[in-house]
Amino acid sequence: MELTAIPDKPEVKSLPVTHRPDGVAMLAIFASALTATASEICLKVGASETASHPTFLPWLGLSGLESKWVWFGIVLTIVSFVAWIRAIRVIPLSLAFTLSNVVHVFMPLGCWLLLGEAISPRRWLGISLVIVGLLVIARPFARLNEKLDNAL
Amino acid sequence: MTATLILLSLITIVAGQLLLKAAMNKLGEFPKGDPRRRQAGWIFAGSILSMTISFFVNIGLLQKLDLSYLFPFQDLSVILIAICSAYFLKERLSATLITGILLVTAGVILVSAS
Repeated sequence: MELTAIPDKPEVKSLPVTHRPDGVAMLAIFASALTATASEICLKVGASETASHPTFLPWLGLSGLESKWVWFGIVLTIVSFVAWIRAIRVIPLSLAFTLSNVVHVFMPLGCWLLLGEAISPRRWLGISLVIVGLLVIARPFARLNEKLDNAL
Repeated sequence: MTATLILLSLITIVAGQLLLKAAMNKLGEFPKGDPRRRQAGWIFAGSILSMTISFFVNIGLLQKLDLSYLFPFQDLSVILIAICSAYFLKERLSATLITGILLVTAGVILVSAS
């Protein structure tokens, strides 16, 4: 009797092209962080607007849904999420999540440029530290990317 | 109550990200048509659930607290996610990455505290 019923183990194929780290993934993190910043500002505006509205289970913040700003925030969150998925499909989470902290640069800069809010020297120092930290981890990643490109 | 909610928001942020990455890893691991890809769907659903809870807990917290008060707690999530990615997802934490994470966290705390 032939043993034909046992199927071969599916071979582990090399990763499809869409699962290699690339520049698009880096751009996606950037886009995700930008939309997340915009979303957070919308949510804060909406949450403040509706903070006094009575609601069921107040700690869930459901009354926020009465504000159009919260809905803008939700749409922006979804856009940010889609970009984020594109990014972490190929970038390790520990790296991607740290890079996503570029929102802490965008947020105060956005408030400074758009709303004319002042940035204290301490905050400038913080922003610089974040940027230095991001450069420290983004540069080896860019080099890895080059190596991959050359190997292909 | 506030402390519990801040803790809940931290746990759901970390769990949501880890599950999402786990689902993406599964999709990358198996070719199209492999039945094991279906597991990825469930993990993805778990991640969405976790992020949804975190989203609403977050709005609830924002109604009571200032963003600047809330942010330093969320900053811990970078370190937590790095540790959990190494432990659960077997990601390698290089010295460079750890240096970067510490610099970013220090910077972020300065940004939120001022």
